[in-house]
Amino acid sequence: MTRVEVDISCPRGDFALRLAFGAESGEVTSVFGRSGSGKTTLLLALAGHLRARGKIRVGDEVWLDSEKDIDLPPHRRAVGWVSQESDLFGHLDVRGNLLFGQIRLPVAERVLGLDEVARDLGLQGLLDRRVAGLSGGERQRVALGRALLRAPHLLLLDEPLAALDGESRAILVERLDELRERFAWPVLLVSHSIREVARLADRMLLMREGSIEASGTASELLTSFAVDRLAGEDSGAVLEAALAAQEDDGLSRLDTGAGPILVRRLDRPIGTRLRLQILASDVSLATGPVTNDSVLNSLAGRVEAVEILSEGAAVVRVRCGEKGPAILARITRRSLARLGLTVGSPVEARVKAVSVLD
Amino acid sequence: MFLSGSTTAAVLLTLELALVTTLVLFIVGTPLAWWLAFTRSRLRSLVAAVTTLPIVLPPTVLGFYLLVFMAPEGPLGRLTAMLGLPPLVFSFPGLVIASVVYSLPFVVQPLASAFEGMGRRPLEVAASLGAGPADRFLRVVLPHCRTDFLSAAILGFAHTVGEFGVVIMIGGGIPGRTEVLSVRIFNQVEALNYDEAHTLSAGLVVFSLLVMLLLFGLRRSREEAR
Repeated sequence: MTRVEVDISCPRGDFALRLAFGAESGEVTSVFGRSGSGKTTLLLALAGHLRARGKIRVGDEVWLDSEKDIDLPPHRRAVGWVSQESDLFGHLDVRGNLLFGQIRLPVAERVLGLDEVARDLGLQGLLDRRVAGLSGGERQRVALGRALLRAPHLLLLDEPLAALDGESRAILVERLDELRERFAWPVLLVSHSIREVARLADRMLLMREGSIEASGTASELLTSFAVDRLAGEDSGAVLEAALAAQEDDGLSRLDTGAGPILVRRLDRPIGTRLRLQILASDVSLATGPVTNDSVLNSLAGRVEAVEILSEGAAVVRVRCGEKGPAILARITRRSLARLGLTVGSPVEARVKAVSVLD
Repeated sequence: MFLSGSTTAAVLLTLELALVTTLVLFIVGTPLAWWLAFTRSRLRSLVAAVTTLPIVLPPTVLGFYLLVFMAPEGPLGRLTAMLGLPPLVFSFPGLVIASVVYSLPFVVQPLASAFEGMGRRPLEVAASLGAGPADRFLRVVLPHCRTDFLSAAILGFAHTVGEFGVVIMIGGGIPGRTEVLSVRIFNQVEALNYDEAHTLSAGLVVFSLLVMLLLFGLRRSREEAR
């Protein structure tokens, strides 16, 4: 099992990257933060394109150990890097791009075949095409295929979905999910889209001014006030769910750690696992059972923390069950006062909208 | 058309000089252009200015200083004497050194701007895909900048063919040894031998025109490829 351990510092003029974290194989760790917080600098340092001091260990390989004077050059670090611009080589066709990394590997380390990757990513018909004529989604899939074929020990995704339309995004996300299950590669995902993080990430690093401000599971961090502040309108909780039953009236019932949730009919097999996002602005709070409104989903819990925002607003974190997931509710300070909510108060979280993340 | 023996010698010498100079320019100019494109050193502007100087300096000024430099009492002249090498002045190696200095900007500038335009990103991508430094240069930089290398070669070659002031200072125009085409034309005019001057001059005009056509065709095909 590959485990990545990083403890590095990297001064760059008046900015300094200084952080330590671990990442497990088969997990997606999302690096989240404002632009300028050092996300891309971190990836550059990991890949060896920026001089850093400290330690980087990937599985049983040491990439950097300043005390022992080990600092592998970039081409000796098995990194699969997919960035927003996809960076394909214009002088090569699709096949040439896909194979660029693989042909530089010893035969024994070539774990994937071109045919397999091309099929999985829907690139079979494009192999002889020039890259100049590809669409954004096609380019991104080629970049991912190229990174996978080089058999990386660490996959770095730098906003890989940012430039994609909905359909290409769905294909890529699905492939990333499968890959995570098939290969024991740790994945670092840089993103500033909360939805992307909520969909893909297992763990999350919140970066600020070159350091890690908070880290933990994605569901914990997405309901932290620090991430809420950054995410603004997009702030919300993510829930792991399993499709439990199809109801007679066109709804599907999902089981989550926070209680059952009804959504519009999902045509998937019973037992399908998926992720739900509940935006903080779609949740209102009540102190007792409400039966006379149209809201379908209501989750019982206790107030775990309250943060007062400017402009008369507040964010309340509600913990559903003893060790269950948390969700956020954005309400007015007036409502907060009227309901008399304090830490520990039992509440009903009234969920006005749920999005199923595909 | 009849070319005398020494005219043919001048043509061959010019081509040989231009060819050798272009090769040396690639060896010297590529790393220099690379450094100019990617360095963060404060010396960058100074080095860029010095490299570009031959474009604005009168060739005679350049030739004069090169002559002083290469003369038996000059620093380079002493060095070659110390190493037991023949003197550089009035010799083919001397002409090559002078031509390299003279044509340097015509190779370094297009290459530096090509490298700058390419940026670091393709190199980083190639490195992360397992390509070492030499591999990256051969498989990424060369193909990425191949038209720029070609146009740098054409410019360096053509500019060397067309030089006069520097080669007459360093070479002196000894027929068969250092008398290149442009110097021969000058000598023929001096000798009132207008027929041969006409032939050679017209030949150079045609040559230069073809080179420029090639260059613009190259640039156009590159723009269309983008």
